[in-house]
Amino acid sequence: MKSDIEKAEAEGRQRARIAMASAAAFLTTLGASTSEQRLVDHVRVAGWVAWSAILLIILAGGGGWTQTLGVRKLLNDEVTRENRQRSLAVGFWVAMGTAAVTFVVDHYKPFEGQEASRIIITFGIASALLWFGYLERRAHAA
Amino acid sequence: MNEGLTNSLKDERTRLSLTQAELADRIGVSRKTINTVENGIFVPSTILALKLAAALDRRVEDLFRIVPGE
Repeated sequence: MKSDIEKAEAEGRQRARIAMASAAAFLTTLGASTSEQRLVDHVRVAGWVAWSAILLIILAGGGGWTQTLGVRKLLNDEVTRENRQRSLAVGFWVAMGTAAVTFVVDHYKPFEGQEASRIIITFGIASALLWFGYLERRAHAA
Repeated sequence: MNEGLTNSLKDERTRLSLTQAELADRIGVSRKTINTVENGIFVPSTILALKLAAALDRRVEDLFRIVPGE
């Protein structure tokens, strides 16, 4: 029988790996254009919205919902809370940078509002998740 | 001038023959937290520093010291 500390250790390492892999997979969604208005594009956009929401919930909540309260508390202790704050700050600045770039590019190649939002949100969430995964992995490996 | 924080957490922990997991269990944090504090990656809150000091039967200032920068 594993102790709460051991469970939190294993779950925390897994969360860091999943965060980085999810961020990388999420970035690949940028390759899918939504400029056409076919049914398949609406489905694709709906899928992307749901995926974004899930990743944001994981980022904000810390995951581990199948674990006991004790393990979840260990999973979201001081170090993780600080790592989350730092990664959310990174996500914010990357989103601002991406917004600035789309603003400039729009003068040469106009974006639809939905497309620009998708690019900004994707980069913001993916960068925050990547940074969170990196900080957590570093903390475990230190 | 940048100041840094150094600590003798590892020395004090090994003095009591405690593993990182055992110390973590005593104060209700993850092993990762002990690990990052010992390696200077994470600067603990006052509450955590007080808990660590109490668990190791030391004063906070015995565990943590400010290192003047250049």
